[in-house]
Amino acid sequence: MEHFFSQLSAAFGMLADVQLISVVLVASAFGLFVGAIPGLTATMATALLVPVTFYMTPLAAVAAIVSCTAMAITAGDIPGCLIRMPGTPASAAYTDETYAMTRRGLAAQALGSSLVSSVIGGLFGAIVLMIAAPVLASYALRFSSFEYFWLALMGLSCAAFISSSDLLRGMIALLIGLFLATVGMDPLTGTPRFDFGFTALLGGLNFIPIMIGMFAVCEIMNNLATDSERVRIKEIPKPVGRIFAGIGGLISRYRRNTARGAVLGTLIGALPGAGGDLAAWMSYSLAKRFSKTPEKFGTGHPEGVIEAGAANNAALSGAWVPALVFGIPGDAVTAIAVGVLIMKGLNPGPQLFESQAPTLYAIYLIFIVANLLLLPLGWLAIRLAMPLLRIPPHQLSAVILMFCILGSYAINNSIFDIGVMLLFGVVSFVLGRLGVPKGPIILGLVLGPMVEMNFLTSMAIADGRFLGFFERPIAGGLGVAAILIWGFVLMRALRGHSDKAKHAAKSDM
Amino acid sequence: MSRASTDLLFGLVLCFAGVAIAVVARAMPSIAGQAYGPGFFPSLLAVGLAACGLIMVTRSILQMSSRYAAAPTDLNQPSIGRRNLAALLWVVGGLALIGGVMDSVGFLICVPVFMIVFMVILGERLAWSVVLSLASTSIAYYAFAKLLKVQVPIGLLDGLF
Repeated sequence: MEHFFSQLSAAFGMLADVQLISVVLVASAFGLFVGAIPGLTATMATALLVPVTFYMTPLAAVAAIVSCTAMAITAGDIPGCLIRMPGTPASAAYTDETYAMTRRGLAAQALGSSLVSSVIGGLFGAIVLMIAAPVLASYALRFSSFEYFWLALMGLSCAAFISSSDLLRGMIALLIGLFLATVGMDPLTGTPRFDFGFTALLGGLNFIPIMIGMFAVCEIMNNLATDSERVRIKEIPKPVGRIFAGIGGLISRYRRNTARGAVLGTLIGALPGAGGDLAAWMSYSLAKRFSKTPEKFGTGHPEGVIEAGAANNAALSGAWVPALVFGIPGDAVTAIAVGVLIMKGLNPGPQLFESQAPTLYAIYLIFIVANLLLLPLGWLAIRLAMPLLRIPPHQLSAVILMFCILGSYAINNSIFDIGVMLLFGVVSFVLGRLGVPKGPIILGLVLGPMVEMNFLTSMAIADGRFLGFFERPIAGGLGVAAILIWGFVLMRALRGHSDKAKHAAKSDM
Repeated sequence: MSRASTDLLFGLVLCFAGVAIAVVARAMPSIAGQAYGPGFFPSLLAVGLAACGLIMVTRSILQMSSRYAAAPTDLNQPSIGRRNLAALLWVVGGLALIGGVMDSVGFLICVPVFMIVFMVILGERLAWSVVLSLASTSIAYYAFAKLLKVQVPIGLLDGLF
């Protein structure tokens, strides 16, 4: 216990740094800005932030990412509520509901309830992270390459299964990501692979230009392709009143929804491939299913907004549990954060909990600080929402593209990285048009070296016998679980396929 | 192009990519005393990609024969307006151009030009585009080159800054 308090006080000491606090405030403001603009996602905000984190301490870099993401996800509710355009995908689940509330003159209540429930969900997720991560880490210290291989494989499988309604497309995305991770020197022997004669590729593909290309350049191309550049606010909503008035009573009335959203969000967030958007959709459906007044849903009723609002922010913290303990990120934002941690020499894994305990405690505290800051900064963002929403989208896109160029270049002072950014922007755009999800590509890219390294090491230890992967009790359990998950998903896919065939045959008759 | 024919083409590209990766991976040197060399893992991925490609080809052929319902994908995108298409092409072409000339011309010239063209294509007034581009690139240049000490290429303006 004394050890715990000494670590905690060291963590507080690390947080009491003017530079760190400034970083959190600036990143929060940036997150609120990006989140409040329709068409710009929380992942895009994080990808654009990464080049700047390159010049920060590891803790400041993580603090910037955490606070920026939490703010962006919450700010995404603002345009959804006021002009029926979700700022981020995580807000899409309850946009119609909050907009219906606005039309009933309840915009302040909609924004206040989503903001406060987001804070509660985020704090709950942070507490789970604080408790679950060290416990899991002490257990994971016993893991060998066999367990890590199965864990990474399960994580990747989940990402492929969850991220798309089409299993095949999820698998393709995953394989593309894993292939990209093989570019550069082989992790065991140092043999160059797929470098095509470019010395810049010997160290592997640079993670940051890829992220910027896939999440910033590609999003701008998507906005142009879907013509959302022409979107203008047709109906100017009335100014939002006192957003915290009566919210305490409302949250207390729907406390069960808040709790369920926070728990479900944290659990879903921890699943690789499932981020805040899925958590919000599932929570909203659950709220409707268990509601005493389901008929009120869709007419401007706060119950689903509170549950889903708590879930999408809780998912953010939940995603960090497997990321910190096993190095397996829960979603694309956490994958970027894991990439940043690795870049900073803080390789996620159970050893980190022993060697860098105060830094990890400081990271947990950052989650709490960022979520508490949501209250005043979220309030401010709501007040400033209308001027933000009036910024012409193409001017903003031009400035974002400028930062994309500069951010990609700044990592290595290399024009080559601008080319990588462009290539991945275009490839990601084309894949998106083909229905291939991005999430598994990123997870494959981040987890690829871990999967390959642990697979080859395990094969060497087991003398090439695949049964060797099942001989250790935990590895065996994980292996069986992985095979069962694969079997279940394949069965479901095949059954769906045969149902479709029957349906088609019937309609032919 | 219908969804099924796009899928067919995509499946064929995946098959080709799988075969190409397998060929390159097989040519990688094997390591003495090790059963699994640097080409082993990429070979596994190549098989996976080719298999996925094959499934996609088969599925799209079955869809074309219209016995099966369409796969659950979101390919019904709206058509792109002329201005937006031009801006989209400029993003690709302009960024490629920047990759080619930024070292010699400099960030402070080629990036504002890229931004101005982008905004003008999308219907923004030229004067405002010039002001916004110059102001934002100057601020960004100061932040990255002076505060973060990044060696942003200065090109033709060498000596002025």
